[in-house]
Amino acid sequence: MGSSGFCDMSELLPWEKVGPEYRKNLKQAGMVIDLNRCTGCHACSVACKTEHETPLGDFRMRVRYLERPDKPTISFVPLICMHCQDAPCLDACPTSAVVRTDDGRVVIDEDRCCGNKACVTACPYGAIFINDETHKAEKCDFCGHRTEVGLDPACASACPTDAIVFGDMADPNDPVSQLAKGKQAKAFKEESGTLPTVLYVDHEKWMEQASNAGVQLSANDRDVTYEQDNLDTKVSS
Amino acid sequence: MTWGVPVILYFFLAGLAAGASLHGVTRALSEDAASRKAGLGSLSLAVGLIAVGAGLLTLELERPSDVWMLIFHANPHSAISWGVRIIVAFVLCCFYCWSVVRGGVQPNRRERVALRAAQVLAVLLASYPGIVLIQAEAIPMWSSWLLVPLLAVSGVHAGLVLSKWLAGEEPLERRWEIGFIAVTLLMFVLLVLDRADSADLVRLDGIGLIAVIGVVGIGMLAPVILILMNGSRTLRAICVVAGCLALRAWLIFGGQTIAPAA
Repeated sequence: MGSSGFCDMSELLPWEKVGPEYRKNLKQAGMVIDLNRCTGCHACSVACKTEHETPLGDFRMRVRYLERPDKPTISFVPLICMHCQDAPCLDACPTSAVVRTDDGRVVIDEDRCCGNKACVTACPYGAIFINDETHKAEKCDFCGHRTEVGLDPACASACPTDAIVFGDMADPNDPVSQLAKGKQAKAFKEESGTLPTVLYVDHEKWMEQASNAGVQLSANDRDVTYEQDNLDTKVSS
Repeated sequence: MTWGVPVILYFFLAGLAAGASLHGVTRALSEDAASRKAGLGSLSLAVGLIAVGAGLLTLELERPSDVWMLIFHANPHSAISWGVRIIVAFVLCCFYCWSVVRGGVQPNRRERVALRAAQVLAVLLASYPGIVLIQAEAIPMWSSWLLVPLLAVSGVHAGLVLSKWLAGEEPLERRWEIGFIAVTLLMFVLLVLDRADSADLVRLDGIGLIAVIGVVGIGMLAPVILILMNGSRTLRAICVVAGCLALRAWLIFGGQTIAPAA
């Protein structure tokens, strides 16, 4: 059994049957999120929570509802770990618990984490949190247990509008690379120089300020979550 | 808040320990035997302070029982990882220096090298907390290199003042004391000018009170007034040490209350 409670899918599902060939040797895992397509349905964040059994009030992925400053509408922005190519969390962790995998994902080795929270303070995207049950740092890992057998990450699988596309950013023929190039996808907080591998289509600068603490809850949050009841206790703690 | 009171207290105690050990080593290097003996107390104080600080830091971990990982799993890019090694080397060096001073004889060449090493380690101990804060890229207020000299100078100053006061010695020379305060004030002002968000935290409400009353009022103005008026040296020491603590509280609490930069 894996940590998520699922059995090892590589034994049950031959790789060839569950995913396209290019997934086998990812050089740089990456994601493009099309904000034009996102309807704010929370299917991705719910799927993520289910997949990883994330505690209430904590988020590996979170859909932010952001009020547009120029017109009375709301934009939906799914936020996750950006799996930066120059990841500050990787440098900050004193026990080298944050590591980069061969396919470019930034993951946390739970066996090495002592919960000093250096990675939490280092991440400009608020993507890392301390799991109150395990007392270890946790974040999105692009569903490594799924992608290694050719499946999409849970969020991409669950998205009903195909707003989330996962693939190999290093392969120019990969759909995700072509989408990023064709639709001129941009990174959040590009100027931070962390070189994120999660890019957004129709990204606008105002969203960065409005997204506040990023993935996690903060005292300054204005947008609601489906775990609103938990917000006050989590933020005050 | 991600980092709370234990981190503030640790940064405070690390600064004091650095100042105390510098005082102890300076005494140990002197030609006068009585003066050398006076360094013993300061070196003991330095080790005690850093031991309490390290204990607090351990309690701040989500898994205190895994503190050994910080020693055995290193990351050369991590300021905290370097900090752990600086603490270990500092404690070992202070113990050795303590044993040298306790002998009462003039230190030989090898022992003088160890005493000089203790001075270097003290400066590193006082400086690295600033680098730890700089590495926390999610906190915009901490992204300034001014934090390194600011924390180092204020910590060493408070440690020197405290150890001299505890040893019953005359306080620092007036020019030295005003010099330390002037450099701290300069770094503080430059930080506020450098980081627009930190300027919002220097006012008479909320966390700003810590900066205005604690850092500037008690930590800088009061000691200067007491120096100029030849006031109580005990009160001077208390003000300087309290200002050192207030500076760290303002930085840690204030930094984490500012929304992340876009």
